[in-house]
Amino acid sequence: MPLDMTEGKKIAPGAKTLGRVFLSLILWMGTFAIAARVLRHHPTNLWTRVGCVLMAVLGFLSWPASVAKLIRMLGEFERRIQLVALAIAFFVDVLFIFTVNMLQLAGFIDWISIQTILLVMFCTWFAAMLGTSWYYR
Amino acid sequence: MKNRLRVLRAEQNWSQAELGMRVGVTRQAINSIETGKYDPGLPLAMKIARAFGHKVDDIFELEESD
Repeated sequence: MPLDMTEGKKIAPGAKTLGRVFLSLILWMGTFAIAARVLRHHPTNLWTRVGCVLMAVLGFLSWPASVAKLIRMLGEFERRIQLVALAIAFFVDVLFIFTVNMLQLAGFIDWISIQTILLVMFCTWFAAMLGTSWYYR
Repeated sequence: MKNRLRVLRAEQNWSQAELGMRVGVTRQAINSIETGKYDPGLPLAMKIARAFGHKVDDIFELEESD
């Protein structure tokens, strides 16, 4: 008989929390798409511009909150994997942004969009999760 | 940190998955502890000790480098 299955329940994060992460990602992308679409037309109204910025930023906030909640739900070992992956991804991203900045300053490359940087950040995070899971397999 | 997990598990004839189920973690977690890649926190160490009917420091031992 298992001594304590509480930890076991924590390993498999609830579908509800996973769904919340997915919805918050949709919310972030949705608010960003709407705000970017409006701002692309260069609205002159100050409050329209402020509203767009606020909508996009507030739309983003629910996503890290839901990811943090998901990580807190995991067991201690899985939580360690996620935190190590985040730490690795952070330093790889800093290296990437710093290198891009230096290459731009040196005139080797043109301007890089924030969307490209975000995409690279997501990819490094995913790769770091895979790599960390492989190391602790 | 050194541990006697593999030996104790072999004595009980438990697989890593079985021990993991008993203490509520994955097989990967047990394997990482056995190979020294991961030192468990106190609650998990206590659950493992309880599963084997030992004290925590009968199973886990600090090394000079710790």
